[in-house]
Amino acid sequence: MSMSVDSNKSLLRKSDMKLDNYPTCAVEALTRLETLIASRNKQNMVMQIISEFIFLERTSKDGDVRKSQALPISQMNLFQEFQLIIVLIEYFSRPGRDATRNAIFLSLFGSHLTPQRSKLLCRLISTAVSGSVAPLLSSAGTWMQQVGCKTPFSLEVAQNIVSDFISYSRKTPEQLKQLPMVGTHFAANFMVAVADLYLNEQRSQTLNPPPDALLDTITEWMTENVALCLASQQPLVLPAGAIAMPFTTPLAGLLRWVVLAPLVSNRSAYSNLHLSLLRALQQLVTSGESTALPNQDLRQIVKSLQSYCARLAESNTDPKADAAYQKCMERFAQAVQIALITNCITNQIQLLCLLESLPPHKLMKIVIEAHKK
Amino acid sequence: MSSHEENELYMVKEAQRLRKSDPCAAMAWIITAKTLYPNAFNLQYEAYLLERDGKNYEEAAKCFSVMASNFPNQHTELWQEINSLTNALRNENETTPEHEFYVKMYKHLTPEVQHNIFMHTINHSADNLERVYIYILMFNKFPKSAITQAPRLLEMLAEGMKTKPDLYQRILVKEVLPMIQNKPPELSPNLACRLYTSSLEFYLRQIMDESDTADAWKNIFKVLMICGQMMGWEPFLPFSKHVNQNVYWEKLVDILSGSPAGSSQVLFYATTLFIYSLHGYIRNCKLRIEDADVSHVLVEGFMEWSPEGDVSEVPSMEPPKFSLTTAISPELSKAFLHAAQCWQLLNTDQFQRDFSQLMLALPLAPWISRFLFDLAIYFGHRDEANKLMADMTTQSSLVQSLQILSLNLMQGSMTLQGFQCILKILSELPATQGQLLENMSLKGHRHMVFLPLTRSALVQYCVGAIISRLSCKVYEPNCPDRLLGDLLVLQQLNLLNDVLLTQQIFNLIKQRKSFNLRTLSTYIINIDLIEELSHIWNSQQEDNFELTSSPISSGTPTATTAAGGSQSRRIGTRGADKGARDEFRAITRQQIARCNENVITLLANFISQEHLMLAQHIFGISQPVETIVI
Repeated sequence: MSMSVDSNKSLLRKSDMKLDNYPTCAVEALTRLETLIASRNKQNMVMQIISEFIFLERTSKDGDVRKSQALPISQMNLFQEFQLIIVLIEYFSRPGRDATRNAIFLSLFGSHLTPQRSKLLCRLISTAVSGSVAPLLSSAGTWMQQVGCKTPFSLEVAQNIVSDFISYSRKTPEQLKQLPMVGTHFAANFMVAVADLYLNEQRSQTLNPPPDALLDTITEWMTENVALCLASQQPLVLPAGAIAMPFTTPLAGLLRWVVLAPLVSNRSAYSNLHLSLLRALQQLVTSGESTALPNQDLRQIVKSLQSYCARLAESNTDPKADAAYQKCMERFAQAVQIALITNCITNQIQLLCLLESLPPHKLMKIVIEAHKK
Repeated sequence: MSSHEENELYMVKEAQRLRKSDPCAAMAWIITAKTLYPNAFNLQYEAYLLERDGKNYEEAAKCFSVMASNFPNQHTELWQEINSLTNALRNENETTPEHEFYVKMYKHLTPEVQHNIFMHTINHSADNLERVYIYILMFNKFPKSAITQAPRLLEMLAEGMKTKPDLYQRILVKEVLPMIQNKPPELSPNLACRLYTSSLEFYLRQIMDESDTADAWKNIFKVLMICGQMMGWEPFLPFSKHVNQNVYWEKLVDILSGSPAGSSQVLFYATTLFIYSLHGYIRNCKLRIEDADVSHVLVEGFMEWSPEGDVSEVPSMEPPKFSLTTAISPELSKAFLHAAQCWQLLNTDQFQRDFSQLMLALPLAPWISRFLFDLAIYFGHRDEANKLMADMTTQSSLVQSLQILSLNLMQGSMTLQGFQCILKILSELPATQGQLLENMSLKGHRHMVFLPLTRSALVQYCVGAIISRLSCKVYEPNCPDRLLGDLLVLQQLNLLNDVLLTQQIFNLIKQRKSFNLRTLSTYIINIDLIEELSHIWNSQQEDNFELTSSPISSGTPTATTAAGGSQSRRIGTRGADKGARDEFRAITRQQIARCNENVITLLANFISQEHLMLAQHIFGISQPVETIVI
């Protein structure tokens, strides 16, 4: 149907503005968005439609959303939120092109993410995980990568999943265990995000370990799907003109977990996870640009170890006699060795010097000597 | 120790420390260590152990392959694993988890590694038997390797047979030959012949132990074929129970005609055929009659004699015929003749030496000695036969007595020893009754007979032997009366045998008008004879036909003491009062009542009881008679 933009808009305005037509108007809006998104200069229009007809937002000042600088506030009640989630699930479950889906998803949640939209997004994704809705998870994975796995929005999504599936359930649901198979890309990015939440001295004063069930799930994922860490390397299917954000593998964050874990926990799952990480590193073939283990992540690990050793010094304990420290270094050295061999580390010399600054460990010494030449 | 080795050791120890408590951590050590020292054996080995404990067959196989390929000759731990692996493969029926692991892991090894493991084990094992087993295992898994490696294995088997013949023969016959039978490799003739001889020995021992003889000959012929193929011989015939032995013989002659003198091909084929016939002969000498195994013995048959016959006739130089006395006589005679044929061929100059050496290796002594004896009597070589009698240690005394008697008959006269043998035979009669045989006598030609060891046949033979000695005496003047009576008793076995003789005896009785009363009342039970005697009694009323009782010989128990003491008794026809007639009638009635008695038992008793008298008749010894000691 060829209609002018204005008539399109007026059509909407005229027929669908009424609240008792929700969520029909949202469904229609989504359909129209598909055509609109293709054209470049319609972005404003797209945003308006999304705001008004999907999220039912209004600005407090005047009716012209374009001019408003204030944050739009959604007028949706709980029931409408629930309806919207259903609509979105259904919409994203329909067969169609990945590019279109991703474009819609990014339009909905890629920018202008208000706290309410964010909350809705979290619930949407949790629902998608529960229902194993693969296409939606695929788009969500793309979104996460584009937005950045360690940005507050991604972290919020990750935290939400942990709450929904780990903290408040007695037994880890099968759907979470199967997530790598349903949404590989999403699972990989989720791991990056969730790794950042725990055993991270940059986020919290003390090292808080992940919940046991989460650790077990992640370990199982890594053991069963060693190639999971490569998932992020697959190219994103983005709308034309979009620039793909670089990928990050979860290896660095999970490495921090296993290296620092002995300081706070004895669980054997860390041992399994560590072995899976080593195997994953061995299988990694880096293509140069992004490294699997960014230097700053490794530096973060060193820093945590250094502050631990400082505390040991305060209580006059020799790190050589401290079992926890020895275990940390053992794992660290093993990972560094494998990473160096498989070219996962860029500035080797710098790293080696940094490692030398730590209180000694026999294996670490061997590794450093082997690579100093 | 260099610093590298120190570091290696340090890491291995860490892994070992954690192997049981935290296998993941142990593996982490090993993975790391392998990147630092990729060529260290102990790291590979530790990795292998970890995978083995974790039952990761594929990963374990990879480690194993690396070790087997890179460190073939060194480390004892590796050898232990290899031994465990080969052991597990050899005993694939065991189901312990350990065995299962090795069997599964083996499947993940590349064929090259699999093969190399076998070869290395073979090359390094000091134990011959172990190497043999590994070879067999390797051939099972890699049939193609059998073609090139089989000769080496066969040599090992031949070597092993020197110290443990039973074991190695069994391995050869049961395991190795079946593997190579479709494509036998080329072998040196020496080795192939040795292997054939060993297989033959194995199967013959089985046959002689009577343990599993069902397919023994089929297998022997198969082995012969295989060995023949290995030496490039013209193939013999495959074995079939239904094939007439003539066919085999003809094939042998065919091959013989096309072969150089003393060719081992002919030697082996002929030897096999010989043993086959021999076995057929020896085996069939036993037959089942009336629920018992009855042996058959080859003995001289009776020659028909007639008074008009030309005694000076030179006995034919042809070999004797075989008379069909029993159902299996044809088979026995055929087997015997075939064995004899082969024997003669193998004893010609070109084969004699090799053949006798071959025979030394085989456990056939009892069969051969029996065969040679029978062969000697067949050809009428009396002295040879006597000499060979001493070699036959497994004969029962019954058989021996029979054979001595037979030799007596062969030489045409009875010796004292022969007569004693008759008595011995009668004292050792078996329980099986059996039947009377036909065709025991032949006119004009020497003949052999297979005598079953039954009561009937043995008594028949003894009776026949005695009759053959006594019958000519009837035609001599002054033949004793007693002899006539005794001969009549003996003829009761088969009156139709020599009607002329019976007639002659009755003529003489009529002439002499006398018959022994005791003989009549003790031993004459045949209706025809009783009738004839009654007829004589009744028709000789005017002349005095007397039935007399001769004095009782010392040492013989008498059946009747009616005669009373040692007095002579007479009943005569002349002036026969009623008493005499009644007595005669009573006697005849008494004897007729006995007409269904077992003739065999009667005659056996007769000979035993009257042996002194009979000896007198045969040897012409006049009274007084010394007691003959049996």
